[in-house]
Amino acid sequence: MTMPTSQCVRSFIALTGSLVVALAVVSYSTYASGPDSRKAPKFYDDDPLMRVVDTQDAAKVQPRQISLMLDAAINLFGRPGLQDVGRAENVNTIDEVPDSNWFTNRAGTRPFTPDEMYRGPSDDAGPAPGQWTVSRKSNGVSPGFTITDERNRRYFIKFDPPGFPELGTGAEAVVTRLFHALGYHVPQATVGILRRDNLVIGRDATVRMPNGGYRKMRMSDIDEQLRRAERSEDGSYRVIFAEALPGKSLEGFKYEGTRPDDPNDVVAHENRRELRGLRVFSAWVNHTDAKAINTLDTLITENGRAVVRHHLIDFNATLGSAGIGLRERRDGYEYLAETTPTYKAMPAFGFYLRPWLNIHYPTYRGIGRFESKRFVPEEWRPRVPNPAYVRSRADDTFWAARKLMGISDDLIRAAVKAGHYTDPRSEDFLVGALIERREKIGRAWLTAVNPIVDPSLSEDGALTFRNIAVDLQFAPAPPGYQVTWFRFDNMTGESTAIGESKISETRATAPPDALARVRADTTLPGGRGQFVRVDIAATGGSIASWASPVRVYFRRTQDGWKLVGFDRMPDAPAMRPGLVGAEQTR
Amino acid sequence: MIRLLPRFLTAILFLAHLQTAFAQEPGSRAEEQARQQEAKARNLKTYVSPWIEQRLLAVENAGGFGVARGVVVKFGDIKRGSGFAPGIGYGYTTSGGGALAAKGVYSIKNYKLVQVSAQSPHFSADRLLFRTRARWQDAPRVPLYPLGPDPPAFRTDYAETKTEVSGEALLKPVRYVRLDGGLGVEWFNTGFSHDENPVGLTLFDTLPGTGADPRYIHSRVSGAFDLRDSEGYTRRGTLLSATYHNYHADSNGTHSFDRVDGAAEQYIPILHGNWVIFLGLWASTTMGKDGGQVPFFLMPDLGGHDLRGFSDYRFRDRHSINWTAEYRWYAQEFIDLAIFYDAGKTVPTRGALDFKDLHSSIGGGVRLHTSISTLVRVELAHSREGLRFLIGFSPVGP
Repeated sequence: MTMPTSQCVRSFIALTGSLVVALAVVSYSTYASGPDSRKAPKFYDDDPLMRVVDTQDAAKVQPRQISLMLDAAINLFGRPGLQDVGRAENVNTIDEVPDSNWFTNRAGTRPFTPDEMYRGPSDDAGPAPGQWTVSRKSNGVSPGFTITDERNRRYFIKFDPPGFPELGTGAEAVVTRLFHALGYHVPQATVGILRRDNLVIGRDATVRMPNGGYRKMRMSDIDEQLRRAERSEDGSYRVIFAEALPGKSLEGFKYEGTRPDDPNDVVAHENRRELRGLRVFSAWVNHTDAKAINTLDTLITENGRAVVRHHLIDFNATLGSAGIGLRERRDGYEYLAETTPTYKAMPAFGFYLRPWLNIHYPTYRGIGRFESKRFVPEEWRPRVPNPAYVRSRADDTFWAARKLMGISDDLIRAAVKAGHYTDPRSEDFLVGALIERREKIGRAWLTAVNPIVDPSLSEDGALTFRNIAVDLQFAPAPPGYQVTWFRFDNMTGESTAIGESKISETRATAPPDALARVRADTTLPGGRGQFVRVDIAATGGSIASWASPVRVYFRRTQDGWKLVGFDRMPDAPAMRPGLVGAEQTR
Repeated sequence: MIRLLPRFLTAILFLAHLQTAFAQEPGSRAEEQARQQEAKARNLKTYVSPWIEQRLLAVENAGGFGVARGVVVKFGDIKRGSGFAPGIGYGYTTSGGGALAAKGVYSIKNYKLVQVSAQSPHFSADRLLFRTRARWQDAPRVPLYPLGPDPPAFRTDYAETKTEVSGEALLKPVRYVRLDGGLGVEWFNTGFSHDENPVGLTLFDTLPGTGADPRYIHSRVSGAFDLRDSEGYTRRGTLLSATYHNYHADSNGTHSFDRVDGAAEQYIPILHGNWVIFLGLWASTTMGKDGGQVPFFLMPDLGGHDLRGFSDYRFRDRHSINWTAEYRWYAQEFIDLAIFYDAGKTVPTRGALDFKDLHSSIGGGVRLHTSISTLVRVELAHSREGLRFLIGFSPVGP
C-alpha cells in the first residue's frame, strides 16, 4: 500500500503536530497541578537573606502630605490596613529583619560601643561656630528654625518649652541615639547653645503669612519664635541641632499600606516587623507620638538609582516630655479616645480612678513625667492607635525585646550622657529608669512566647540552643524540652518525622543515623534531601506558651549544618488587630 | 495544511506559555523580591489625597480652624433662644494676620443674623488686638415673662431687631490680665409678636422701654484677672472680671443707663483634674441715668444658660445675682460629665441683691470639649417648673 508523497507529508505533519499538542497539554497539566514541579522551594540558596536591596528606580516618587487630623481620626475610630494578622512579611527565613532602607541591624547584632552610642547617627556635632543663616521658621506649635552654617550644612533647631529647661532637648538627644542603635534611620540630633546674635536672616528667607502667601523674613519673626522658647539666664537658648537628612524630602510614611508610587515598597507597612516591633521600643522610651507626620521619607541615590529611605524623626515628645511641656498623665496608659475606660468612668461620678492618676514623677530638671515603677509594657499604648502596633504578634514583640536586650547598661548610660543634663541626678535617674523599663520589657515579652534562640546543629548531630528568657533570668528554666526531628523536603514542604528526644538541658543529639540518612539524600534534585527540621518545645514548665514548639530548619552545606529557617509561632492561630497588639480571632 | 495550522499554533502557544511560566520561578530569594518590586514598578500609581484629606490639609496648612479662609459653615451666635441656627460664612485672612469675615445665619425659630466683621493683626507680641463689626439681628419670638423676683409663669413673646456697628480693643498687658474697651451704635426695635396670646399684649405694653426703640451709643470697659488655662475650657484657675457699660440713648434720653456686670469663677482640680469643682458667682446691676428707665430688653435676666432648670429669660429685672456649684468628672480626654446646682434671682432694687429667696435648679450633663474649647454641652436640668433639656456650645456662665 502506497500513499502519495504529499499525503505522506501531511500525515507526518499531522502526527507531529498532534504529538506536540499532546506533549504540551500533558506538560502544562503537570506544571499546573503538580505541586512538586510548580511550587517554589521553601528555602533558596541565598536564604537567610540579610539585606533587602531596592532594585527599582524610585525617581518618580512624589512628596505626599499627610493630614494630622485625618490620620488621627482614622486610627482613633477605625482600624485601617489589612484585617488578617499573620506573620510579619518582611522577616527573612530565620525570623530576623534584614537590613534595608527601613532598618539596619546595629546594637545586639554587631559590636556596638558606648562611644558609637554617644556619637549618634553621624559624626556631625552641630553647626560650625559663627553666623548661622536662617532660611525658614516653624509654622507648628513648637518654635523652630532651619539654619545653614558657614560650611553650608543645614540644621533644624528645636527648643525647650518655656518653664521646662532640658526637657525636650534632652529627650530628643537621648532617644535619637537609642533608636539609631536599635536600627532605625534617624537624623543626628545634638544638644547645643544658640544666641540670638548667631542668627542672620537669609537673603531668600521667607515667612508664610496667615493668608497663605509668603513675605521676606524679619528679625521680629525670629524674636517671635524665641519668645516661645525656654531662655537661659544668660540670654542663650539650649537647643537641638537636628542635621538635615540627605536627599529630597517626600514627607512621611503611613503606618499602613504602601506608598503607591514607590516600586520598592512592596510590604504593607502594618506588616513590617520593625514597625510592629516599634511598639516595644516606643513603650521603652514612652514615644507616644509615633505617628505618620513624625516620619520622613527621603529620596536618595543608592547603587546609582534613586530609592526611598524611611526615617523616624521628632523625638522631643518622648520620655517625660510632650514637646510643648510636660506630657499628659494619660500618655502611655490610655488612647486619646478609648471606649472601655470611658464607659466605666461615665457613670462612676469620678470614682473610677485610672491607675495613672496617682503616679509620682520625679522633679529632677529635664526629666518631666517619666518613671519606671508603674510601667507595664503590655499595657502601654501611644496617644493614637498605630496600625502596626495593633498588629504586633508575640513573635514581633519578642524580636523587639531581644533587640532591646542588646542595649546594655553602658550603652544606655552613653545615650543619656548625650542629653547633657546639667543635674547629675537627672542623668542617674534616667539611666536607672531606662534600665528598669528595659528589664520589665524583657520579663514581659521575652517570656510571652517560646524563647528559644540561637539554635545550632553540629556536624556530629549535636543540637544546641539557648532559652533567652532563662539566660537573662526573666523566668525559671523549664524542667525539660522536647525535640522532634524531621527530614524536610524543600520542594514539597513535606516533613517526615525521624525521631524525637526529651532533654533537660539546652543540648540534644540527633537520633542515630537520622542525619546520616538526610546526608545520603543530598543527591535528590532541588535540594530535597539536604534539610532537617527540628521542633523544640519546653515541657512541664509553668509558662503555657513555651509548650508550643519553635520550628527550626538546617540546610546541609559543605561547612556543616547551616541555620536557614526559624519560625517562632508556626502554629499561630488566626489573628486580627487588637486594642494594643494582635488578638486571636474569635 | 490549513486544517493543521490551528493545531500548530495551539502547541506553540502552550509551549510559549510554559516557558514563561517556568521562567517566572525565581532562582533565589533576592530574585523573588526583585520580581515583586519589578511587578509593582509596572503598576505604579500616583497618590491622590481623598477630598476630605485635601480639605483638612488646607485647614492645617492655614493654621487651624480658627483661621478664616474661604467659605465655611457657621452655627449659632444669634440671640439666645434661637434654637439650632446653621448658616454660611466667608473669611479672608490678610497677609499681616488680620481677618475679614461675613456670615449669615438662619435658625429653626426664624431668627436671622447678618454680620460683617474685621479683626486687626495681633500687635505688640500678641498683646493688642482690634475688632469691629456691623451686625443685624432679628429675633421674632423672644420669651417674655413679667418682671420681678418671683413672677408668675405667664409667658408671652416679643420681637426684637437689633442693628449694631461697633468696635473694640483688647489688651493683654501681662499674662493674666485682660483689658478691653468698646464703642458702638446700637439700634433696637421691639414689638409684640401678634401671633401670640393677646393677653400678653397687656404685659408687653406695661414694660419699661416698650415702643421706645432707642438708639444707643454703647461704650464699655472691662478688666479681668484670668488664671484659667483657656477661656473656652479649663479644669483649673480663677477668673475675676468686671465690665462697666454705658448706654447713652441719643434719641430718647429717658432710656440712658449704666450697667455693671461682675463675675467670680473658681475651678478647683482634684487628683490632677479627675474631679473639678467649679464655683461661679455672677451679678449684674443697672442704673438709670437722670431718672431714666432701663428698657426691659436690656435688663439682666436669668434662665436657660445660667439658671438651667428654668426657661430662657424666665427672670428679668434691673439687677440680678446667681451662682453655680458644679461637680465635674473626667470620662476621657474629650468628655466630661457634670452635676450642678444653680441658684439666682432678679430684683428691682440693688438692696435686694442677696442670697435670700433664690430660685434654684439641679441637673447633670455631658460635655464634649477640646483642651481649649467647649464644643457642646448636653444637659438635663430640673426646677420647680419642670425638666429642661439643654444644648449649649460654650462654658457655663452668662
